[in-house]
Parts: sequence; C-alpha cells; structure tokens
Amino acid sequence: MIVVKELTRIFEADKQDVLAVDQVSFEVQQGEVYGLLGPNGAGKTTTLRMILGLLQPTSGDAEVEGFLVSRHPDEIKRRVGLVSTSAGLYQWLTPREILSFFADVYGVPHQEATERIAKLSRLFEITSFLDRRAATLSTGQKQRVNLARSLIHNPPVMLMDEPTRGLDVVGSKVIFDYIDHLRDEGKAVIVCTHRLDEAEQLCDRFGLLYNGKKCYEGTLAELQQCTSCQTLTQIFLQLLAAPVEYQETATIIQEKVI
Amino acid sequence: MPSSSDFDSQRPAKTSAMTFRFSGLLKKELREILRDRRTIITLVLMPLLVYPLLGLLLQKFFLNQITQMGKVEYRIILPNDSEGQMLRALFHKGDKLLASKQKQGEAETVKTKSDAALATFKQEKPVIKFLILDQSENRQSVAALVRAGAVDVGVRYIPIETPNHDKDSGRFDIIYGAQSAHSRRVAEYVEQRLQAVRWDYRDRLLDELGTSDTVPFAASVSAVESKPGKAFSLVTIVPLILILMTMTGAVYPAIDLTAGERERGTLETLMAAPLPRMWILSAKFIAVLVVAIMTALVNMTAMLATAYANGLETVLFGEGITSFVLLEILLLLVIFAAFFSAVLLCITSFARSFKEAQAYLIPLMLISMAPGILGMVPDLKMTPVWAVIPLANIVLLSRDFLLHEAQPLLFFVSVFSTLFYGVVALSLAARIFGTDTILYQNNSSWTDLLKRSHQTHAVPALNNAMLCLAVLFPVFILSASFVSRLGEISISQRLLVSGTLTFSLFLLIPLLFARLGGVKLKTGFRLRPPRILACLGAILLGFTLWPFAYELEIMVLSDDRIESLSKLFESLKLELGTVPLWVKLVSLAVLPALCEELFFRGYLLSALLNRVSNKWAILASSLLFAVFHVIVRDSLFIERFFPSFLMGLCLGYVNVLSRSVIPGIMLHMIHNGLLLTIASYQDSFSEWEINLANQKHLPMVWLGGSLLLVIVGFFLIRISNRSRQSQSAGGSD
Repeated sequence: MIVVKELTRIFEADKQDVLAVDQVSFEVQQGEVYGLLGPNGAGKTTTLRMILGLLQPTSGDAEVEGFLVSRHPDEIKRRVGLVSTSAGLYQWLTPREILSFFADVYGVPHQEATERIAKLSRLFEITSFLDRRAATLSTGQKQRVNLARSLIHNPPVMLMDEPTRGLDVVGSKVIFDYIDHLRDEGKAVIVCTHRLDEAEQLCDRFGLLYNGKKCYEGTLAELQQCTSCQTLTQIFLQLLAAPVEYQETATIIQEKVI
Repeated sequence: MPSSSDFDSQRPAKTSAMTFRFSGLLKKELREILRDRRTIITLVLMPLLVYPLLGLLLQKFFLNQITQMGKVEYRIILPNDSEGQMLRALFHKGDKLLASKQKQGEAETVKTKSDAALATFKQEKPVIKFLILDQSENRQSVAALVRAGAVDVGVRYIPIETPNHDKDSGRFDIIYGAQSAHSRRVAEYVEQRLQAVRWDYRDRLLDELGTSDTVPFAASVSAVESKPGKAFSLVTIVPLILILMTMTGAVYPAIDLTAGERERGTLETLMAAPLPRMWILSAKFIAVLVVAIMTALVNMTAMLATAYANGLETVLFGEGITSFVLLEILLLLVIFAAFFSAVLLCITSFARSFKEAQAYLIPLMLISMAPGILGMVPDLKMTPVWAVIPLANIVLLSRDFLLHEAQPLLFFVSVFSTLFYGVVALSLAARIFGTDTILYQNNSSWTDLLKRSHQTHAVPALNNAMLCLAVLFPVFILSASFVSRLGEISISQRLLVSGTLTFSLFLLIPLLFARLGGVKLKTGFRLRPPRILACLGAILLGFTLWPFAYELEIMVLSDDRIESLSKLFESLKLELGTVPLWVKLVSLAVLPALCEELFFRGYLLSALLNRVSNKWAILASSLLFAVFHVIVRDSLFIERFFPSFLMGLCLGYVNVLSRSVIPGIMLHMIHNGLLLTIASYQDSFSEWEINLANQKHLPMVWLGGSLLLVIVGFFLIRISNRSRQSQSAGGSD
C-alpha cells in the first residue's frame, strides 16, 4: 500500500546543509496503523510531507498504491488524506462550505459529496455547527471539521501529523476513535507523534526516528523482547541517552525482525 | 481496497470534472474574499471618505492654479476685418451691459456649469484677443484653426435676408473645439456678451412698442472636432488615478489569498489536493480581479459624483461625463485591474506572512507611480517601444484613448503585451506559490526563482519558456536599437554585429533558462538527429515555400503602404546593394534561421508540446514568432505578420513531424537565403516581374508547381516520421 524507499532530504540553513531525513525506508499495509515516532526535529513531519509530494526529496522515492510520488504526485494526492495540527480552516466559510469545497477539488460528484458530508457530520458530531462560520468554532470543533475534511474523498491512505496536539482528553478520544474507524475501513495509516503513550494504544507497528535516521522498526512486543524496557517511553529515553550504541542494537533488532 | 484502475474509472469525464473542480475553487476564493469585512471596508468606506476630500482639494488646487496663472487669454478669430470690427463693437457693448447689470446687484442670468467651478474667472477678467484671418485664406480656415487648437474659438458672420430690407441682420456662428473645455468656456463667454446685446435690443424694442420687428443679429454656437491644446489637460491625471484605484482594490485580496492563506494554515491542505498550481493561481487571480474591479467601480462612481457635484466634469473630460466616457474608463479599468491583479499576486506569492507581503508591495506601489506620471509628460508620444513597456504602455494608452488620439494598432499591441505580462506574472506565481520554500521554510527569497533545479527535465516547463520569452523580447528590441546607434561602422559590419548579437541573445538566454530549469539540451531544444528523408523534404520546402509568402505579402500590402515603405527603405536599399551577398546570407539567413529555430521551434515549442496538443502548440509558437517579426526596433511592420505566421505554421509542422529542430533550420536557412538572393539579383529577375513594388502576382504555373513540390516535401517528412515510428516499434518488440 505505502512503500517508502530511502527517502532523504537535505535542507539549507545558514548556507550549511542539514540532513533532515536520512535514507528512511518502511512499508505500511492495508488496514495497518504505523506510528512514525521520534522527538522534535527527528524528521517525522518531513518524511510525511515527502510521501505526499509537498516536499521534494533530495533522493529516494515513495509509492502509494503503485504510484510513485516523483512521477505522479497528483495520483498520490488523490489517494491520500492529510490531518495536520497546523492545518487551519477558512475563517469566513462554514464547515459545510469547506467540506463541499474539498469535495469539489477532489472531484467527488455532487450527490456523493452531499451524502458524505451528512455521513461524516454524524460521525464526527459536527451537524450542530455545520452552518456556523469557522472562525467562531472552538479548537476541538475545528479539529473535528479537519478530520471530516480529510475523509471527504474517501482516501485509501491517511497521513496524520501530531493529530492530538492541543486537544483535551475528549478531543483526543475523538482522534483515537477516528483511527480505529480508519483501521476498520481497511485504510493504511501513518501517524506521526511524539506522544509515545498514545502511540502505544493506537499503532500496530512503529518506526523510531532519531536525527533523521530510522533507528528501530517493529511491534511493541518485538521491542520489549529485544530490550529490557517495557514501554515506548523507556525505550526512547534509552535511545536518547546512548544514541550510537542504541542504533547498533536497533540494527540487530531489525535483522532479527526480518 | 480498490485498485488504481478502479479508482480511475470512478472519476467523471475529464473535461466536465475539470470545470467542476475549477468552479469549486473559484467559488471558494470569491466567497472567502467577499465575506471578509476588511475587503468591504476598502471597497466602500475608502471611496466614501477619500473622494469628497479629494474633490475639495482638487477644486482648491485648480482655483489656486488659476490665480497663479494671472490673466487668462481668450483668443477669438474672425474671417475678415469688417466682421472683426462688428463683433468687437458688439462684444464690448455686451460686456458693458453685463457689467452694469452686475453693478446693479443683479445675479448673473447666464450661468454655466463649468463656470461654477471657476468662480474666480468672474473676478479675474480674461484678456480678449481678436485675431483676423489672413485675407488669402478662405472661410473654412476659421474652423480649421479651431480644430488645430491654434485659437480658442472662431466666429463667422452670416448675413440673413430679412423682410425689411432697410435693416441688416445676420447670425454669428461661434465655433469651438469639442475636446477642449477651455474652448467651450470661451464660446460661452462670447455667446453671453452677444446675448446681452440682443436682450438689450429686445428690451428697447418693447419699450418703443414694436416699431421694428427685425432683430439685427442672432448667435449660434457649434462645435468642431479639435486637437486638444498643448496646455496641461487634467485628463492626463486619469491614468494615475486608475493606477491608484485598481491597486488599492487588488492589494488586500492579493495578500490575503496568498500570504494570508499560509498564515492561517490552510495552504498546506490546499497544496495537498490534486490541483495544478496554475489553477489555484488562476482562481485567486479572478477573485482579486473581481475585487479590484469592484473597488475601482465604487471609486469611479464616487469620483465622478464628486466631479459632478463640484462642477469639474468638463474640466476633466471635455464634453462632460457621457456614457461613452464611462465605457472608455470601464474598459481601461479592466485592463489596469487585470495587470495589477496578476503582478500583485506574483509578488505576494513569495511572501509567507501579511507583514512580508506588505514589505514587498510598498516598493511596487512607489515604482508604479512613476509610469503614472508619464501620462502627464507633454509631447510624449506612444511608440511601439512604449507599447511593450509594462505599465507605461497602458498609462500612455489610457491618456491617448481618453484624448481620442489612440492608434488602433498600438492600442492592440499595448493590450496584447499587457495580457502577456499578466500571464507571465501568473506563471511566475504558479512556479513559486505553495512550493516547499514558501510552505515550510523561512528563508526563501526572490533568488529562489533563479536557483538551479535539482532535478533534470527532458523539456522546459511552460512558465520557464514564457519567462525566457519575456526576457528575450525587450532585450532583443533594445539590442536592435543599440546596433542602429552604431553610426561609425559600415552597413556590412552592422549587419554582422546585429546578426551575431541576435544569435547570442537567442542562444544564451534560452541556455541560461535551460540551466536554471535543469533542462536537458538535446530534448529541450529538440536537437534529435533527423532522418535523411525529413532533411530532403525540408530542403525541398525551403526552395518552394517562398512564392506563397510572396503572394501573402502582396495581398496584405496596400499601395500607400508600399509607397511609405519604399521611401523608408530607399536609402537602406542603396546601402544594402553594396553589401556582399555572403554577408547578407550569413547575417540575415544563416544566423536568424539558427537562433529563431532553436528558440521558437526548439525551446518554446517543446515546452508547449508538453502542455497542449500539437495543433495548439504549433499555432501558439507561430503566433509568437509572427509577433516577434512585426516589431522592428521602434516601428511596426504589420505586413510581416501573415507571411511570418505562415512560415511559423510550416516550420512548426515540419518540426513536429520530424521531431527535430534540424530540418526546420535547413528550411528556414534556404527560404531566407533564396529571398535574399532573389533581392540581390532583382534586375536579372525583372523580366519575370518578381518585385513587391509592382504588386504583380506570380504566374499560376509557378504557384501550381510550387504547391505540388510543397506537398511532396511534407509527404517526404511524413514518411520519414512513419519509418522512425515503425523502427522504434520494431525495436521495442
């Protein structure tokens, strides 16, 4: 479903090259929730943006349903839904108009769009404020509109960047339910987050990024088996304390997994 | 999970889906901007406040100007001395009558709208100059002098047969220039004095209880089309006002829909949608244009209402605010709004915040004021060079248009080039808007445009090729003017310098753009080695196409045009006669063929073919090729359009068929070379009467034979294409 092949991105900052993502590769299958985890600046969001074609990779490529992002960026965009905490809403438009607009640009036929808006409104409980101006909505309400927006074209792949940032317990619960819903619908999901406790509950598999490199990949059970740690947080703290040593361990673990 | 083919089949028909998606995009942009209260404030409140104030200021300024000017001069011309003496006597009598009425404290009975604004004229008496026409001139010349703007009004006395033959009677015709508010004012001034005498006469007649029933004279006022006076006309301010109006309207939406979109965090989701960037920019352009036009319309209404209320409309627009004037201004508004919307969107596309966008726009606003002032420069004439200079062209066009002096050809060149610059600005915006540097980085700048692409491309992007054309166009015109200034060198040297310079420009500038865009030279310039058959076909076409170009030129050229062209080129023709044929062949056949083909059918056509169908790509490249040939330094040779367009079509077709630029170069070289050789040996050909000046058509046998050979030529190239296709198909099997 999603194949990421040695994606690398070098940024220029103060006339110096900074390696933001270094040959990251992984695969995500249909109905699988993959957690791309790491501290701030690890390269999670950059990887996500490269998969969607919003950032041009310095080298490497990504593939979604057989389409390469380097060759068919629009085909990828058609098949991917994006949820990002930084995403805003058009403040002068109502949620209904926003959803209708995105249905238009993704080429969803009018009748189908109306049905999907009704369905998603019920699912995310936004019906009561569907015709209110977006600027007047609360943070949680905006987040729910954004979730509905990302599903308006019923994409087979979902990319989520820090979906629970800034949300309270109730808001986070909505996201958890949403991800379960996506898994049930058979979508391939990548969730970028630094909330490791949440990731443990949400994801089927993890890829740990540190300084742009993928240090570990596997299920929680596999990780617990290879380390003496019980939680992702403990594993991560260990990784930060001794990155070089850990990287070696990680490579061994990967080999075992393969 | 659906497969990719299932997904494709679910999509609706391509064209209707595209329209559907674009209209959705446009609807969103318009909703967003028109609901914004800040747009409404700029749209409604600004004009409501600004114009009444501006009107007051203008009136004060105008009155101040009049006071500073001191005595105003009214120049009145009459056909002969006797009529002059008669008018002068009546005029002074009328003047005295009006003065005595004023002294008696009576309100002036004859009051005109234009006088309302110029109240000081009543205080400051103008200096009246009665001029007498040279006796050798005829009567028509009175009108002619008014028309030419040499005098303010002309007065003619026409005697009228009356029942009482013992009494003289007649009519004074007062002729004024319709395009001059001043002239109209003088006519009214004279008419008032003559009327005063008439009314005085009538009053006295009534007193005498009708002893006479013949009024000694009547006065009628008639207008002639006139040249506006060389004095400063307020109409020249209108382009500057148009700049301010449209820019004020376009600034806020341009910033809000680009930098504002990023600031609100909606840009990423928009860029994540499968929409071509040019679509996004086009929808934003239409939204900005709509707001700019709406703002300008509200501004215009407020301005005209202010002008009307203050009695300034005749001062501004001569004949006042007519529906024709309104239409003229509306048309100009759309042109200005389209230009500014595109340019502002281009600039704000670079910005990542409102603040940054404002910082970018301030220099633009200041720079735009300078061409606005151009309209006020007296004696600055619109030339083909001005017609292609952005903004300056529409400023001069507006001035000439409102003064009814616009030349249709230059009008279209100005409008066309403005539209072209608008498209280039939008292409540039599409190149940068929503790219990762704007989306995510904080240190991008204008130099990003000139950064070399990391990826290599087989063909140039269309906006890259268009930008290249936009740079090439003015540089080429400038370089041609530069060569013409090299007076010291011989014509042969000049031809060689010009040829080399053109060749370098056409080669270096596209090469630079190819490097910036990471374009592979072989595919980007269509340098693929051609088949022998294609070359043979092209050579045959090179020898046989010229009769059609010749016939087309004859059809286009008029007798007058041939005469003016032959006068223009008489000296050049003599000079060219001394140039050795090889110099002419190198500078006018080999070098132009090489550089024009490499650019128009190489770089530009490959970019076009990548985006549109073969038919449209050939058509567009031929059109641009023909326009390039029409503009020669500071003049336009419109007759070159059709033959160049025809050649462009043939060369484009040959290029597409042979998939290489090389056969076209051969064709172009032979075609130009042959025409030059014929011109060099024109005397030898005189018996065949191949001479443009004679406008003799070629014998039908020649045309028929050429047509046959042209068909054979195209056939050969087509066959070569088929054999290449079958070979490549065989190879892949």
